Amino acid sequence: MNTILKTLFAAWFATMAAACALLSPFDGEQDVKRAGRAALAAYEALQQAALIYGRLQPCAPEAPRVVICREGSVWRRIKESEARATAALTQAIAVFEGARDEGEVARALEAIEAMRDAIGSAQRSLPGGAP
Amino acid sequence: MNASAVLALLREIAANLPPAITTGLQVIQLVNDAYLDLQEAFEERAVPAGEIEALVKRIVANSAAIQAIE
Repeated sequence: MNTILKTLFAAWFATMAAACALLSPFDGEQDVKRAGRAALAAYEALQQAALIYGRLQPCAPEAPRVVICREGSVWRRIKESEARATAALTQAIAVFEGARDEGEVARALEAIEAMRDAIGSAQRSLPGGAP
Repeated sequence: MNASAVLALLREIAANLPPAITTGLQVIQLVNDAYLDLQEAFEERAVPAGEIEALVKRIVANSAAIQAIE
C-alpha cells in the first residue's frame, strides 16, 4: 500500500507539472478556458491525494511506525494550504472564463505549488518515503 | 502515466486497501473520476459552457471534505 500511495503521489506531481506548463502564455478565449480546465482538473486530482492521506489513521506517538498513518503536523499544513489554494483558484475563475488576468492566475499557481509542497511532506512522512 | 497504468493502479489499490481507509471505495471512485476528468482536460476539444463552473463546484466540495477531517 505504501508503494501504491507513493506512486499515486508521483503521478499527481507529474500531472500538476503538466497543468502548470499549460498555463504559460495562451492566446484566445478557448486557450484560456482549456488551460483553466486543465489546471482545475489537475488540482482536483491533487485534492484526492489529500483526501486519501486525510483518511489514514492518525499516527500514535507511542506506537512503533509500522503502519501507514497520518502525521498531525503534516495534515494541518495540507489543510491550511488546501484552503488557501481553493480560495485563490476561486478568485481566478473569472480569468478562466475570459476576464482580464490581474495576477489571479499567478496567485492561484503559487497557492497550488504550496499545496503540492505540503503533499510532498506527506509523501516523505510515509515509511520509506522520498527524502 | 497512461490510462491503462492508472486503471491497473486503481485495481491494485482496491485489492490492497488497509482497514485504516474506511471509505476506500468512495476514495477510489473519486480518484478514478479525477483521472478521467484530467484526461479530458488535456484534450484539445473546446470547453463547453458550464464545464469550468462544474469543476469549481467539485473542487469546493472536495475542499469542504478535506477541511472536515480533523
